[in-house]
Amino acid sequence: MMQIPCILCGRRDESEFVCGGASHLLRPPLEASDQQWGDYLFFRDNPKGVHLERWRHAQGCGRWFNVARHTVTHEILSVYAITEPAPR
Amino acid sequence: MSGRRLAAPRGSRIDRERTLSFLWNGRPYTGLQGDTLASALVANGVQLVGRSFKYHRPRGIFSCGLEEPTAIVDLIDGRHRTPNARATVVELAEGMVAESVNCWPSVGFDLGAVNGWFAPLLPAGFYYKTFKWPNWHLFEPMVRRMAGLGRASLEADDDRYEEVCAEADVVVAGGGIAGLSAAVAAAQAGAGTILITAGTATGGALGWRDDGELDALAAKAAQAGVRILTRSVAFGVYDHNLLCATERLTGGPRGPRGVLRERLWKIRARSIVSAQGSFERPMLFTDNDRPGVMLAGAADEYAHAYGVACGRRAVIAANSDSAYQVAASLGAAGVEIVALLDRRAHADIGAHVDGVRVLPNTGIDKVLGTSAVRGCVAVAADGHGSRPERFDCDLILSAGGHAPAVHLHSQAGGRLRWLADGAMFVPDGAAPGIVSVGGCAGVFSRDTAVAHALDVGRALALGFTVPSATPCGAGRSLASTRIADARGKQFVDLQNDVAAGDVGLAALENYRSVEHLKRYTTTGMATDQGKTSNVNALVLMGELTGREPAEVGTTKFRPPFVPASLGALVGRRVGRLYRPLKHLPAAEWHAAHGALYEQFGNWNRPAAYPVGGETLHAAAQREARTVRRSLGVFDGSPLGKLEVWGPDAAEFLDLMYVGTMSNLARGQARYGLLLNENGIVVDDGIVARLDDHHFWVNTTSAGVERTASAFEEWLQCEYTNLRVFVTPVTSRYGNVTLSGPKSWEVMAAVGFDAGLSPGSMKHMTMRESALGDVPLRVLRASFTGELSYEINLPVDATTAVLDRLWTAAAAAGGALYGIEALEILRTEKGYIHIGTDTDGTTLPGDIGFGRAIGAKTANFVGRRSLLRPAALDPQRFQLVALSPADGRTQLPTGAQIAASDPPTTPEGHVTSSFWSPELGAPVALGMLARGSSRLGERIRVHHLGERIDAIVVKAPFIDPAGSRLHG
Amino acid sequence: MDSAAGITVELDRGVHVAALRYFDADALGERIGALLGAALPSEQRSVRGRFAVGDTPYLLAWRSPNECWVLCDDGAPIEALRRSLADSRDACVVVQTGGILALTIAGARTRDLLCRLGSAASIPRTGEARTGRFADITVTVVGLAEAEVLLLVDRAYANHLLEWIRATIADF
Repeated sequence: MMQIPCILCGRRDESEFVCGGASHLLRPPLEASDQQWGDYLFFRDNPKGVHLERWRHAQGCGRWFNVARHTVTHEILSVYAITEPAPR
Repeated sequence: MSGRRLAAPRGSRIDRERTLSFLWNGRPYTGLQGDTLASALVANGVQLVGRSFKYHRPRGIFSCGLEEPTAIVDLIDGRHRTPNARATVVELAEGMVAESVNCWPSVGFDLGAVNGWFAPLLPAGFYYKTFKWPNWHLFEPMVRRMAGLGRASLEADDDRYEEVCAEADVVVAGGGIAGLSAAVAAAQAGAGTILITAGTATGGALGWRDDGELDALAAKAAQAGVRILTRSVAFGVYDHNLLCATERLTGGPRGPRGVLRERLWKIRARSIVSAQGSFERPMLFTDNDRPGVMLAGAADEYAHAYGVACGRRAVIAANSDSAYQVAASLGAAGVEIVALLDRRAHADIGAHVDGVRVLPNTGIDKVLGTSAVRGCVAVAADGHGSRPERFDCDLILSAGGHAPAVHLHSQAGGRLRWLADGAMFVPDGAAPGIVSVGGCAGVFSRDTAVAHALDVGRALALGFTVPSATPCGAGRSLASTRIADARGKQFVDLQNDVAAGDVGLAALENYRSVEHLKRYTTTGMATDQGKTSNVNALVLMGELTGREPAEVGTTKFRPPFVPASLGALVGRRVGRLYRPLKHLPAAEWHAAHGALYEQFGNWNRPAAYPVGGETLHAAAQREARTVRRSLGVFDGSPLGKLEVWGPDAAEFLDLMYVGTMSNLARGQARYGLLLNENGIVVDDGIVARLDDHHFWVNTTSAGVERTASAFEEWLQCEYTNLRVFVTPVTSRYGNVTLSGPKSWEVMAAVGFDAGLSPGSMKHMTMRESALGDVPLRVLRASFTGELSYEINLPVDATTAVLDRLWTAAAAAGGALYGIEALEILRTEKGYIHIGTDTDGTTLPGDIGFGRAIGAKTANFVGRRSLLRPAALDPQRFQLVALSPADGRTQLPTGAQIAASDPPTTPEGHVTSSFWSPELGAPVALGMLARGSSRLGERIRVHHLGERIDAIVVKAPFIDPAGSRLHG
Repeated sequence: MDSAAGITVELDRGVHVAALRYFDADALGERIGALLGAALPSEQRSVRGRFAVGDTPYLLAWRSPNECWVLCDDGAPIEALRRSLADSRDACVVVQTGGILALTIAGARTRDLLCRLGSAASIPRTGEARTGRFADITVTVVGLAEAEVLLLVDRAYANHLLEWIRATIADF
């Protein structure tokens, strides 16, 4: 069980959180093609490496925030606000 | 009979003043306080303790610790049965009852031994090649009965288990000299330190020698504030340095309530020190599984820690310098060392022992004796040299070398490297967060291990660079311990009966990868997880396939390191605490009024209120009928309630719902559907406008958390500029619902304000009101199709108001009704239940909301998905109402609808189905392909081989004009 | 009141609770500072003070950047707070009395109990308010003193939490 560093509450057990999957997804507009809409809904990158993802401290402060996590080592490299863009 | 108790002062762990009685296979024996079951058996001369898994060969006690592969027993304690206990770690207790496993009628005379005659037909993987024709399932029950060792209890477990979370700067797994040193140094340098040790006290592998240094360390540990967990084993390292351990609690005498049996520790550690020592590797020689063949170090430990000699005359088969120390030590304890047969050449031997005959380059060709060792025959290991020599002995000790316990290091992702000299795997560098010290790091020189461990402890406490370990002190051992041209069975895995020939078979059939070797032969897959077999197996595979052990590698190490009981992993989550259940604010009132409680979603609430011995079904029928004839009183408190407040609340709700909420007038309410982005219906409910920027939102009882979370997600992640608060208030308000033609009559009699009457208050509106000094929010909405009032009130007033309303309702011929009756009533009206009539594929158009979507111009969640071809497919399943063609057969819920008999593609299924007391006939809802255009059609319902014809009818079944809503 | 060696557990069903909701903590703090006589608590903190009118003691527990809970033994000051914000478009008060119950745990073994409900990282120090997972449900724990905490729990789950606590201290 990982420890997720909540952006407000600090490190807590993973069981207090909900993972929202990949971050920085661009929602296509209503005029998008079915293909584009389907890609947005169902297709995700699955990197062996750093993954930018959203987490919510559901059983805590309730905040959504972004996490950069290495998918192999689970090392958490950074945590940043949900509205911030992807770090370079 | 070869084991016996030695005279005092042998036996540092036993108390000769305290005798304990126990039963072994039904016979009474005695042992001493401090004995394990194994040491007590040895003291009583019991050598044959079990039968092997596959061949039912006689087996004895092999080791002195948690790596034990063969002394597997069942412990019986009243109703409680612990299967597959290792006798070597079971603390003997007064009145203990233990049995052999996998044998019948007895371990001494086991009919299963006939399997041994069929051994050639039962090599590794035999079940992949045999028992196939005509059908594997014919043989399966027999093979399953033969599998397994112990027997589990079928009784509920009376005992209790708890889970404890802790944090520490440094956690040391292993309480031997290295672990103790690391813990003391860390604590003295200021680190909050926990030490975990399997024994009843610290000391580890050296603990049973009278050792001043160990005692001094233990005292320092106590003084420095190290928290020591005894009888505890660290079984797993998980992400971010979570170390889990189980602590065995010796409860008091068993009372009727059971005992607190185990504690699960979940420790989040800044640093972990692995100090779990090493296992002794067995030698491979023919018939190396006979009772009387043991690990050399184990025999030494039995003699000195427990004061028992495992035999009178011992032959030692060696591949390690450690054998010589054992020879001297055991000899001093009174066991005659007949010979020390060293597999290694003279040049590799780095130790000696006085007064013992040592034969280099010598191995065992065969063992004499079946149920007990009677002797052995030794030959030159390389096949050359002198004639075979026979030795009379009752004990053969295996000293094959060291196998460091690298499990925790490996679980944490650490790599291993093979040391050719010592023929062992050791940690290769550190793993993140975990450092190895002592034997498990390959450090077998005591002074080096202590010095390194002290440095490590201090460095971890102060944040310095941690010094790496330098393996030393083990001398030289050969990788392979087999002699040339060995015939017969050399057992590699004693518990799963895997012999060298099976490894050969795997190599022959190209299962050469170590992961295939494991699964094909099952070596390392028994309850001992290969602690005494993995290295021998992979070395042998390497030999057979021309690879070095490092090339063959090890299989992936996974927790738990030792078997962990399910009870410990579950902790308090049994019975009522299995999952968090919600309770009604007026729960006691309902119970006092005859409520039959059941679980609906995560709520404990009345299914019905049976009277006079009614069945649940009869009660639900009566209650539903009464609601339509006069009225019913229902506790709707679980219905989800959210306060949505803010300048942008209206705009926000329009985005969330199918249906427009922003144009609701003050006091007006509207039903809405919530979709996910995939367009699927996920919740429904009623939204009422309280004020310009204040809305009351009802959700389903089970969906309130999900819906509130979805709202938060949109507000925090996407619509961040909208100023809205969503505050759940489900528990702050009680909800008493009256439903039926006499609802208002009863409310008026109780004293509710006339402004709430059906004449003054429209359907689908909400009014603030009061009953005396109890403020109310009353909603006229209906899930039954009858005139209904949902009275929301401060939760503390629920019981009182409920009681008043019930008194008046009962006088008017009303009934209390529960969920079962509600389901009947809403089905009669064709009202859907999310999750019952809908599933993960249901779109709003499927349940009749197509027009609402078309009418709404604003964007809302899921809108785009409704424009996809699949969403517009005319073949889609649509909600229909169904009646059985014969007017009386109830359609089974979940039954499939198909034009032809199975196997075939269904065209729908029945989602809700009840007997209608109002109609005296069954009513049902279902999903049917093109359902909305098949009114009047006859369809066929299939259920477990039966066929039932049904008609697609118009919903609702009752009151199509909906006039009953207005009383 | 339940008790065992070194611990007492007391349920307060009569505590008055309100959720303060606000878009901007500082702005709200300015607006109601006079009523409260103190500033709003910062992240994961709790504040004990007295209402200016009536000198009634209260406890404020931080829940999120947009929410604090106010606890008081008297409903009147909370009602006064609610009225004072009735016309605000930047903040509101949602009364939660009855929906949130308070359990006071005190004694030498308080921390031992909390460790058997949830993870050590979620346990507050004195003066903190931490919302976390305890007994498999969401609980806000306020550190009142070295060996005294307040557990704030949704009423519907109070039975579940109490039963877990009772089972645990029965084995103390």
